[in-house]
Amino acid sequence: MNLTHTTQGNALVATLPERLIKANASSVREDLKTLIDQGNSRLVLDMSATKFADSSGLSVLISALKHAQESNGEVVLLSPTRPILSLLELTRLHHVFQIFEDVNVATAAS
Amino acid sequence: MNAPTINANAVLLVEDSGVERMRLRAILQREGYQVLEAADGATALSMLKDHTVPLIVSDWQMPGMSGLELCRRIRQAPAHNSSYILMLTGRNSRDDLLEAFAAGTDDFLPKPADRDELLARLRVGRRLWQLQADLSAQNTQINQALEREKLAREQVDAELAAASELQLELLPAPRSDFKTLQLVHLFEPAAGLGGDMLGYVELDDNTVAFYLLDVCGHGVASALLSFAIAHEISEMFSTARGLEHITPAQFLHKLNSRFLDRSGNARYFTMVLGLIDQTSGQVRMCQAAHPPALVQRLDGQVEPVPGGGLPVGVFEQAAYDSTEVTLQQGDQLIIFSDGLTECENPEGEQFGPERLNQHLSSLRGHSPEYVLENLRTTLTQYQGQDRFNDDLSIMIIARRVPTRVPQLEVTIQSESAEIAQAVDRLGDWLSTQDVDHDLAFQFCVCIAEALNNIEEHGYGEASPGPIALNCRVNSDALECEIHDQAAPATVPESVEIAPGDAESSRGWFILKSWMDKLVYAPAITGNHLRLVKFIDKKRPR
Repeated sequence: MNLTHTTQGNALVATLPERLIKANASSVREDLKTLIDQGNSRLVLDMSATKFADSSGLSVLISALKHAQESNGEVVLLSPTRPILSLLELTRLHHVFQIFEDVNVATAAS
Repeated sequence: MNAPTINANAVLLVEDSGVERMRLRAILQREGYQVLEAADGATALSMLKDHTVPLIVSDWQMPGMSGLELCRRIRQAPAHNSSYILMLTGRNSRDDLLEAFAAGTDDFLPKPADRDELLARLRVGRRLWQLQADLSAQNTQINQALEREKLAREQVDAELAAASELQLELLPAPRSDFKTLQLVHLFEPAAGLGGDMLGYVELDDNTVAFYLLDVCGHGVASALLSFAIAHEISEMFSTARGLEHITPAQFLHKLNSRFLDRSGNARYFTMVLGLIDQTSGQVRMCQAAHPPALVQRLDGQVEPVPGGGLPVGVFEQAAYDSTEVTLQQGDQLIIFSDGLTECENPEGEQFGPERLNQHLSSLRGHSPEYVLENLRTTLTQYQGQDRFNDDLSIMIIARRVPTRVPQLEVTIQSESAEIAQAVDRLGDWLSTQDVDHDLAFQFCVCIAEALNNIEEHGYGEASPGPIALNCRVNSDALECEIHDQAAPATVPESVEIAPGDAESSRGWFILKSWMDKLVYAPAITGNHLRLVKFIDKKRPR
């Protein structure tokens, strides 16, 4: 497990790395899967430190969401940086993910 | 179910009274009809399962199923739509008649049926049935012919599409690696297959030869001629390699004799052909009945290149003169077919040379790629549609200003970790080059996508290979050229993505959305991908 993560109430907040790219996609994907399989039904992905992502990185987010939804869980995004947000918007993923700016709202909302 | 057999001479007689049935049968048989008899509606219906008859004579009032009900049931089957139904009845109130017509009856005869009247009405019915049968047969034939036509048409379309692809393959790749020149072009055939053609080639390390031609008309015949001319020109260019004193006029003279039209069809072409001395910028060129080429000076001045001659392939004695013009550093030579100036807006007004000159003047100092893109956008906006009605080709030859463009060269192996490092380096470097942060981010993402694609699909993830990147910050564009030696990729024409797909063509979608230009040239010596992102806020599109 390389991802830093903390529990906040019913939610688990995992901090995504500075780069979410092909080189680390499979490792992040596995970590997120593990966290979901441990029964964390609400996973908040803190993207405030993520400065760069490519399409492989985006697919990590989607596979986490799909995996969580299989067990009625949810994956939401927290504070993506402006460039990352533009990438999410370009690929229309902002319609797929709930995106929050405030960690308290992100962890509490359902 | 088998289609019911049609007995063209048959009458189905439905009558519950045996005596009356016998009388009618005798009348009909004497007239030469083949008579099928049914004593009630149910029997009639079962007989109609296997037979279609042109004529049906039925009593209205019968025990069990009435004549009217029988009529309705018969009309339910499409096979019996054209049967002519004559109802025998004692009823003749208006409402009765209307009800019977609504049920699908064609005609009535009061009981007891008069012999002559019955036969006369059946002849009418028979004639109507025959007309309908003939029409239906013709219809079938027409539909079959249409189907054959459609197939033939599809085949022709497929062949045209293949030819059009071939034509595009004949075009040269945009070049920016000549000593002092950059050459770009746009080629938009009106009908998929065009009568325009263009090309350029290095004759020696100092001379670049170029041409752009427009065969009269467009479509297949023009395209075939343009193929032949293009072939001839490339032969001429290759034999002219190393010759010191060959002139464009000599080339045109040769082409004129070679393609002289003796058929009387007046199939000719107009063209511009020239040679450029890369060191001095001197251009010697010939214009044969072609719209004059324009020189866009660095200061925005736009000058038509003087001189002209007769179209090629019409007059045996046509003489051609070469004109000389010099491109200073930063100047661009713009050569185009008449599809540019004759492009019409919805009111039928042509774009025209004056508007073109003004427009080019306003685009001074921009790269040839930018000018080309801008011209295309301007024209499509002007005409109010994306497709051009006439063949359109434009070639721009720019003499570069030898400023040092900041550039970064990186060579890596196609492995995820190295790709990540290269993209990092590029990002760091761009941040030192006063490039807008968002723009730099988009550029880096696209380059990461391109490199990932080469790693995955080009080399295959298991066997890495070299990838060379050359990134430049030009005055109006970020540019990256990527060379690899992997298997050629296919750049999809258009990319659709569904937001929820885990894996999809998202990478291509990002590339296509964020880059202003994406030129992919696969070759035996390796693939060449060129990405351009315009910096100017007023970029076209």
